[in-house]
Amino acid sequence: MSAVAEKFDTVQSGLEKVGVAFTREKMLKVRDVTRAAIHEIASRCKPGMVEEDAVEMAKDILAGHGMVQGWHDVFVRFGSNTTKTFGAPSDPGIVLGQDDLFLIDIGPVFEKWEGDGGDTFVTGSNPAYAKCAEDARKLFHMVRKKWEKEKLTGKALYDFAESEARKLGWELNLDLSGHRISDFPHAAVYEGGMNVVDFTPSPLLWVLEIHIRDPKMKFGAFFEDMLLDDSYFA
Amino acid sequence: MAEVGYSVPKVSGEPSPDTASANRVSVTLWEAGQPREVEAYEGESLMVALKRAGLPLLAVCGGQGACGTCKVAFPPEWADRLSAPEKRELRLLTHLKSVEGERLSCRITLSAALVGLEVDACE
Repeated sequence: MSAVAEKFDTVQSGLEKVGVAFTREKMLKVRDVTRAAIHEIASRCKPGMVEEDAVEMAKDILAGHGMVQGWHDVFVRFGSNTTKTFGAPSDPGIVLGQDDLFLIDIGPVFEKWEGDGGDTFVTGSNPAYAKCAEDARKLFHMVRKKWEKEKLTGKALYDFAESEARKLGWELNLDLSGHRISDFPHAAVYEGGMNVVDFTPSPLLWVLEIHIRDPKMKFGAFFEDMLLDDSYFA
Repeated sequence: MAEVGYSVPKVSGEPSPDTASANRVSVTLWEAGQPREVEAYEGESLMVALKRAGLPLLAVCGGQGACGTCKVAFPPEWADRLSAPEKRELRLLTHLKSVEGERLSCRITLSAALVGLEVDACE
């Protein structure tokens, strides 16, 4: 191994450390319960609901499944709030419309393991909203497949994502640019983004995040899941 | 905490106090039976003040009351004077098997009413 390759190998080992509780099975389990919770929350978001009530409802659902603790806050964002970046407060009192879109971003701790996932849903037939939600998923898989086939670095993956998002007519929000996931808390190892790492991220250890926004900043869509190969997305 | 040379700013809901104009709040931190004064200001959360003072709270969620890694304990005379925990904090404290007097420091906003506050670092 060359000196340069060895240096990067050491960096990757450092950033991809896991704790004593880490197992493949548990990480896949927490991924499953996270995705199930996202869809349960989505199924209970109805037109006429105020966003703040949806956030409380989401927290109740997570708690009902034993996920009281989260490594980040629970985000359910309606309408124009879908453009907000991670951690930014929503504009208050936004009501979900009959022909609207909303996104969910949760980071629950299930027993000792971190889940993280997100998705975007529409309530009506607005084609721009439907395309935005679908393109977030599409872009996620384009980037994921690029990772799987070409073994690109985290930085190269997000350069590709940014370029492809633009081709689809969206702006990619690089504040949400992938990160580590592990047994809780991964932040003890590394809390930076995937888009700055100069190595190919390993499966199970990272989540890929795609947050695209309408160039006029009227609405956006989000999709997030664990970085895994095609066999996990049947 | 990035160990190996990468750094990305962490998003936090915590406003930074304007320390030049904000009023100081006297807070005493007890660690292993030893007291020390910490720099603290009105309007900021206790978590921010304790982290500034070097207490190694993980505060993974950045002060959103989600992760429970900023738990501290208060003596009874102070525990009774704090605003009651809201539903989510209460649920999280129960989940974490917290004992009486323990609270999430990110949920405590410092104010003039808390001058002289005493807080114990949890294990």
